[in-house]
Amino acid sequence: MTEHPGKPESSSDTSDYPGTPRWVTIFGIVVLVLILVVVVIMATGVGGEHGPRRHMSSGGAAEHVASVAGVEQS
Amino acid sequence: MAPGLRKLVLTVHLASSLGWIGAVVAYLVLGVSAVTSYDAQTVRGAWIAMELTGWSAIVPLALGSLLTGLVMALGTSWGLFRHYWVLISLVLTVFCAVILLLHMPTVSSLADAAREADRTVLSRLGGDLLHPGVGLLVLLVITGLNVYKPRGLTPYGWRKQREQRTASQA
Repeated sequence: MTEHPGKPESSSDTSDYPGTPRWVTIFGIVVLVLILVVVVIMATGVGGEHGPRRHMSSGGAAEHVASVAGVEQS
Repeated sequence: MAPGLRKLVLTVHLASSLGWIGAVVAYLVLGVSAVTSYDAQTVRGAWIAMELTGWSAIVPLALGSLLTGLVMALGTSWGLFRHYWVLISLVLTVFCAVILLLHMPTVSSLADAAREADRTVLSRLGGDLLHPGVGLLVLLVITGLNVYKPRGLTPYGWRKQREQRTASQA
């Protein structure tokens, strides 16, 4: 962040709000798509477990991590 | 804000923000070594170091970056809600800080598990790549926004700018 904003972004005092800049719209669309992808991955379980359970996928690791982390195994 | 104080806050903001990125890179390197190493002691050491790096470096730097960013925005004519790049930077920084604070207890649990685990358990513990990887990407986006400062006023910023111009012409 520099010290001050540059020149005013419009030369006219009477004009209306010019609308949302194109880069903000594109940025918003990209973020929405990424959020949807994450939601789908979590809903379908494709990405596996989240949290400590992710590290309890097999054998002895499951019991040990669960006991230390205080997580109940299903 | 007085020029001297503004420079000081800006210096702390830059140091903490770039330090946050550096600390996440260090955490990511440890996470990769926990995933890829076949040596039990390396995996144990990586998890312990990840917990230390997280709580002692990443969390303080993240909170410092957020706090100084707020002071810079509110203490200068940039404002917090006037420019889209400032607003988006704020939202992304808060998002990263919240995810970090929610994730660190899990890291502590796994580090505790790694301290007591035997060789077999350690070999199956894995690492932590998703959170630091995505976090690093978001932090780089924020850095880009802060360097390029793409133009664009929010409706609130537009209204404030017109009010200021009207006041200065009167």
